Amino acid sequence: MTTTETEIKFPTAEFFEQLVISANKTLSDKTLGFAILKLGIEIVSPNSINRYVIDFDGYEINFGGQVESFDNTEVEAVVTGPQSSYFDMFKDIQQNSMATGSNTFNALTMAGFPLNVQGEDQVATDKVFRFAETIQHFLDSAHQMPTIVEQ
Amino acid sequence: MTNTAINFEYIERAKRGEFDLGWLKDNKSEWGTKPTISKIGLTLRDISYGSYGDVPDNPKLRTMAPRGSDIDPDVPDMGYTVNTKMEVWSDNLLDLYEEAVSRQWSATRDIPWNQLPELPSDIEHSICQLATLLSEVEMVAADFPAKWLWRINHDFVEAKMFLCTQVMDEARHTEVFRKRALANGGGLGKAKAVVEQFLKLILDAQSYDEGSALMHLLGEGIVLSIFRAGEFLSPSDVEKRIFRLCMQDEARHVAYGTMHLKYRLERDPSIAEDFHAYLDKGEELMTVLFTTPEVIEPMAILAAGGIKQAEEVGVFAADILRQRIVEEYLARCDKAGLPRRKRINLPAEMLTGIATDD
Repeated sequence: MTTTETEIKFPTAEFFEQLVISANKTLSDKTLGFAILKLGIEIVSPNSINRYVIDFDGYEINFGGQVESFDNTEVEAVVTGPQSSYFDMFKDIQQNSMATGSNTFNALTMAGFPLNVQGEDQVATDKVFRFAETIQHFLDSAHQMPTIVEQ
Repeated sequence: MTNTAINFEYIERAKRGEFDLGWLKDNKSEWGTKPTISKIGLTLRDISYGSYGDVPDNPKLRTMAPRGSDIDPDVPDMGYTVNTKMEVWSDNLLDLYEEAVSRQWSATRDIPWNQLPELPSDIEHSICQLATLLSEVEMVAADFPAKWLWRINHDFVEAKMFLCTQVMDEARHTEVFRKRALANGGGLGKAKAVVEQFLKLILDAQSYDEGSALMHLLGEGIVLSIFRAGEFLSPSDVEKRIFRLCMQDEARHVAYGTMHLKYRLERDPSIAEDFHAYLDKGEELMTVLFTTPEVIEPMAILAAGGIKQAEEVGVFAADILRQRIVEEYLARCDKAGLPRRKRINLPAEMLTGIATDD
């Protein structure tokens, strides 16, 4: 299946690129305040591991690209977990215009599973939650995107 | 002695247009230097250039005069008692202040109160009890910094400013949880003496060191985990937003506390044993908190989705939360350079699943 105007494949660099564009449209009103955080997203499936870098840079978000490894990317923390959990989260967001119940970023990472946030140390891990609302806003922006389909 | 008498002679000279202008000619500032403005605006870090950025380890004066200004020799002593930088400083202080100011929110405006759904009685009771506890404990994190603010030397003004943001944050947390308890037909629940004892321990701290370790590191670390759990367990999107916004603030305070302790111990490792003693006391009360029904049961019921279900899965959920709280706290102590895994003052059964080797 290829990406079309009504569908977008997940996980792909294109998906995260579009997600960043979508989030930036509403972040520009600055109501959430600035966020400065380089976050790695690691999506694990039985056949592959996909890694992406998201750069929260003040009042805007930049896509740092898909990477083979997080070495030399200066990411401060990495969110990692199975592709199915990420996919379910984005499906929930697209169905409800926002993450609900146990599909919010915090809920998914709270116990360390199904997603886990790992910084170099606890201060780096805690830093992610200094921007919890901005990260949730970023993820919730998927509701403005074409329907995601798992690849 | 400071001369506070009116200078009538000067008034007469000024009337004739004969200004003094000493302030203009003798200025010792770094006149002509301009900061580079960051992408997010002019930050405290941007203006920490040259001598303005030099924060003395042991200021000679006890004055409110801005650091780096040309200070009269006869300024009064303000009576500050916290006069060494390492007592309050941390390397992330300037950035945390900017972040705090930028990320303020309103408990009145930013919470969609009119979207609160009607909840089953046991769930409403549980969220109200949790809100009661949080409304109670949050204010100490305003009272403690407020108690110490005026004692801190003004040369550490960035530390004072950050603590001011904390006071505002905690006022808002007290407000938002009080509002939540009263917003949906429930009300305030029980306030327990053991909780008050922990708060008193913080408030009565004999030094900023002691209070900061107990509050920023231990107490707020626990509360940060409770906020994260609260978001996870929230019965509606309204509480989820409350907890997410609160956790952002709390994580800043914990970041300050952890990095402040690191800064402190790097400069004076001999004081480590004092900090261990403060935390020994705090952990003793933490043990009691973990076995207090009003603290544990609401979260167990919220996790299970009701009283009935809580009998089956509630204890398991509470165990996961406790494990998370303790592990994250110990990891922060590690980062601060105060390893407590071998020393932690909790009963063995509360340490299941936690690495206790340094």
